[in-house]
Amino acid sequence: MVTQSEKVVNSKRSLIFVALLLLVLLFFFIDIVIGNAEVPVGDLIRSIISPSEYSTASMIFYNFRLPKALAAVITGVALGISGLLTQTYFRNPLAGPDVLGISSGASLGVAFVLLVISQFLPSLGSSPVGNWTIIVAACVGAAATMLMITLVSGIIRDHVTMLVFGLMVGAAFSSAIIVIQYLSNETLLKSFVVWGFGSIRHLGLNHLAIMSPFIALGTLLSFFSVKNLNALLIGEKYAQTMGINLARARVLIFISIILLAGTITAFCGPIAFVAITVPHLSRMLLRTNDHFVLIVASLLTGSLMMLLSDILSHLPGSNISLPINALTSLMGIPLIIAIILRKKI
Amino acid sequence: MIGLEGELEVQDLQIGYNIRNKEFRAGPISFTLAEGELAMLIGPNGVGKSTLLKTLIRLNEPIEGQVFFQGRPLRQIPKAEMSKYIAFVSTETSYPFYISVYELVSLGRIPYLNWMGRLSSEDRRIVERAIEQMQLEHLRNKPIQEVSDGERQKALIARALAQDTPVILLDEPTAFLDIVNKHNIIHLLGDIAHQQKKTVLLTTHDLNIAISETDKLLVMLPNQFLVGAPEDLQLKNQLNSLFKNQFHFDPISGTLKRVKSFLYKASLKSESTVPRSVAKLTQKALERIGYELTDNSTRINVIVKKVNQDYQWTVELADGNTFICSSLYALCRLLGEYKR
Repeated sequence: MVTQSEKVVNSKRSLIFVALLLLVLLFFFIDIVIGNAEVPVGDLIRSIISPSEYSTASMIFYNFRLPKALAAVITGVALGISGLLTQTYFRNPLAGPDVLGISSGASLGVAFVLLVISQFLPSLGSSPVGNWTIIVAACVGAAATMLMITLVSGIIRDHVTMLVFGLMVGAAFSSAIIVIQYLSNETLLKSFVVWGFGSIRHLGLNHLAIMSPFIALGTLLSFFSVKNLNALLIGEKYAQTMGINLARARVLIFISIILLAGTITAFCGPIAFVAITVPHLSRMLLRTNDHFVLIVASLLTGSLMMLLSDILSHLPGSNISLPINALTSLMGIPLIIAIILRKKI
Repeated sequence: MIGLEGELEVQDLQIGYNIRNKEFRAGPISFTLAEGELAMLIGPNGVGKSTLLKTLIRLNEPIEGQVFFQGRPLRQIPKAEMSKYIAFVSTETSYPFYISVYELVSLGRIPYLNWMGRLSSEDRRIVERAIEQMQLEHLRNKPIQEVSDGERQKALIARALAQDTPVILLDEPTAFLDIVNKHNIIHLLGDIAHQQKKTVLLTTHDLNIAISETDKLLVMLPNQFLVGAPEDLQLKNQLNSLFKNQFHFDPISGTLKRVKSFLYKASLKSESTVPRSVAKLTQKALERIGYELTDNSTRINVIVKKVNQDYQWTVELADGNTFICSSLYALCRLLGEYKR
């Protein structure tokens, strides 16, 4: 009887995973096809096989279409997993690196590098070292914020109050960034403003190559935290009595979140409401709290949400494209409000 | 000497903590828990019962003294290994995520899982058995937030059972439960101790349940720690120290009585046709409203009579008035009035 129902659950689960994967592939394809410049689908595909014959299509494919679709997947994976980890780490279903101000902390780190340090080292922003510096700065900013939030979460027990606190931290950091912006010179400001918009469209394959190892490491580490995350579901005390080394578990999850959220913020700026929404979608779809299943589901759902946002951001029949942040917010916010109203928190 | 070889042996244990200028200390405490024994720890609020349990499960470190598990010093057992020996059920009740009863119980297998946390079919079998033992089959897929307090407590105990440890410690497993659920939980824990030969230690505030159900009673007081079968403690008249003389423990009925300062006196007589139990109940009622009974005639004399199948209480007052009451309630109302 038990194994029977177990089999049903497992086959249902596999079915959902296959469906999600197929949807990701489909959306990935659509995202490559849709763009500001009109290029026939056939040309795009043919350009992969013979780039010299279709040089324009090939240029568009490698410089714009493939990078943005890959960027959507990479950011989706990173934001989805970092959201899931943040919620379990803080035991707060309304948590996410963005709403708790962790992303803003990362932004502040980036602003510090691009606007302050670059004044003394003007070539930093465009040099290869610059990219690494930005990642490190973002991760340091994220880590400092997360430490602060961790300390405060020991005092504030209420989920919604914690959310308000996080939003205030985020607002404070954003204000600090604005102050730094006003004190900066125009050329530096330009590079920062483009960055700060929460966009994936400016990313080239070279950027993605730098980001990928960090995201891969963060994702891998999250899988090593599966048992710890499951144990944390019913509280730190229980986790400890079940042999979990709490300090080690927390540090491991912490590093995962910092790598994922920090790297994304370093290259895309703050992207809103993906991290908080994706874990809830994953739990609803898979009806489980097993973090192994949830991590896999979140990376797929996260990719889907980012790809869909990017597809929708290209208004059909025009060459205007909306900021992807607006679309992720429009998708995520109703779900979060529904969760608050249903008191499923 | 039988039963002194302990699963868990506590020697001169000093417990306490110092958090944010709040200092707390208790002890020294010594006791032994045997295999297959249900033990209950009682004591006034704030005396350190929870701290003692947390020290035994090593959520708190002891200040002094030793705890032995099967003869081994607990301190020398790695925490990961210890989680296979001692399970803990706490009073913590915050579940931010919707987690099903099955998922909650299966978390008890964590000490046996590798870092990927996959359950084997053997793990699932043990989880199923724990669910069956706590009679939770019908709630398997229900979120823990949507079951009753008693069912949640059972699920938490099932999680501890799934942890498959020889010792289970429970912090107030019967708090917030109604009387039926209380007895139900205690009986299930008794079965676990006696049939599966586990050592079960729980804290409780319910002295009546403790006295009637426990194999070993641990009484924790600010400067005293008493251990024994509940009857041993009654024999030595040690239970009264629990209540700072505000309560009196009646060793015969096994119940507690509040020590009252009687302000009024009355005499009680009953006719020979009246059964003793009726006189007893009358006495209880009068004592409840603050009358001390004397044999001498006083300003108030109560006489119980049997009239047909009913009873009648005649009250003769010193001023010559006589009242007849047809129920104990009426009698209490009358004498309550007279007090004023």
